[in-house]
Amino acid sequence: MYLLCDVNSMYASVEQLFRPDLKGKPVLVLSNNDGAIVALNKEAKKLGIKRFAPYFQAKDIIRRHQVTCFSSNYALYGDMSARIMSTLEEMAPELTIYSIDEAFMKVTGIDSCESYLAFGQRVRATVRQRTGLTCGIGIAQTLTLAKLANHAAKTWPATGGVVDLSNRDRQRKLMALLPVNETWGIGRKLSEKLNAMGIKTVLQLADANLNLMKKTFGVVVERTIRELNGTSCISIEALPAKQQIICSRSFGERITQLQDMRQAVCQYAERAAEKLRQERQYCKHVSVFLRTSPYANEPQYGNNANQTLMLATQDTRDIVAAAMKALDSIWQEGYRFQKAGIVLNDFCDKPGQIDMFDESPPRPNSEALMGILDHINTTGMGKVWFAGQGIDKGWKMKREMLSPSYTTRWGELPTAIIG
Amino acid sequence: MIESGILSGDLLIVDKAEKASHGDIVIAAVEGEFTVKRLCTHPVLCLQPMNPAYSPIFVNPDDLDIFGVVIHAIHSFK
Repeated sequence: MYLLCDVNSMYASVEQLFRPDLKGKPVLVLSNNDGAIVALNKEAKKLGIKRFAPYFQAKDIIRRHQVTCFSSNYALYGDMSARIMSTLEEMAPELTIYSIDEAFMKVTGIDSCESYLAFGQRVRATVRQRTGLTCGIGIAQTLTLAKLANHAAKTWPATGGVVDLSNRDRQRKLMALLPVNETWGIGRKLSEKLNAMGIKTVLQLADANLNLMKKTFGVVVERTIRELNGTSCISIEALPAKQQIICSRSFGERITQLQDMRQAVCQYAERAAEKLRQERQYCKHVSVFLRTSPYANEPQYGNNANQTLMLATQDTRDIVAAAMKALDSIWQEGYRFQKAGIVLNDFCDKPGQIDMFDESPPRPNSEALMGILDHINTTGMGKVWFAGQGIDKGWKMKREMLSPSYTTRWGELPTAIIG
Repeated sequence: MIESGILSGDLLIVDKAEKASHGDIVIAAVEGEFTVKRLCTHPVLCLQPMNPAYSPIFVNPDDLDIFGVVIHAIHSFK
């Protein structure tokens, strides 16, 4: 039995937590560089503002309805996330953190002490008491069903934010109500194909002919169908490790010089390599992209280039080198670039084996060096970085509406009035 | 808040996990601001300013918004 806990509009809720004056008011959070809207609370949704819309497009509504905007404050969200996760960890024998605001618990057997529903309600109340944040909770036999239950918990207030979907009849009732694209792992393209076959609801997918679906869509869809029917096929341990890492940002100021672009891409490459090592993965594929602003009335150019590495690596130096090669191949003078990024792909969990035709053998002591690098950069001892990033970064992030780091900086603690 | 020993500029240690009960000093959100008050649950629910010059704030149980319970105050001399 699995429990999925997911915080309701996490970023916006965290921002409101320390601003009692914003209670019940529309709030939204912008992406890096204040480019797009990445999170919004239900009051902002009611105004018709859409997630992922460019900020400037919503500026009118924002002004008219006095919506409060924040730049993303990842230090704050990360810290609140850690508090939530440690609360959850205390309550369950096994917890898997799936993303910054989402975690799975294994709760098999808990019903011998209290009902799943009661346990779910206790988890929700505890998270709320300790962090001030509200979460939705779904409980079911499989991860895929738990995800559906969680969706129901967040969609219908009458559930009180907790849905125990372990009963087969309830599962079927809910699945009949939801469109097939609400199923975990069924993306937009796949749903279109399913719709064309007459499969519109989740229930229709659950009842589809297993052999036919397996032949048509492969083993992943087959597993999903089995999961919808209560057979657990996806274990928490085997949740797909991230299959790609993306580090991309729009620039605070447009970039026109190759030198500046190389610095920016070098920094993203370093950050991506750090993430790769956190995931304990090695990658064989590096791609770099850049583009001008699609909203600006000026010459447009966008391109991306790939580099396949001979050997899977997690060494920053290899990734930076590949990224620079890729960047140089697509660089064009005369444009004002607004965004660039790096994508790492093709992962495996051990370093590549050297073979006799290889031009670039693995670097000696790479692991030790990268370990020291990450240690320095994550323990707050200071920052070390590759000189390719440059020192004075004129292109760096624009975060004009950044909230204080209430929970991680002494100087920015919230204050209360004595009265 | 002279009676509680909390002075302006003090650093307060607030426990959010603690459930506030009668007599606790709490951080409460009042009219969009965090304030330090003493919580009284009887005879009637109210937030008691400890400066006797101010009068207590009577609140609806549904509107009571307590951020956390103050468990320590650190006062700096320098």
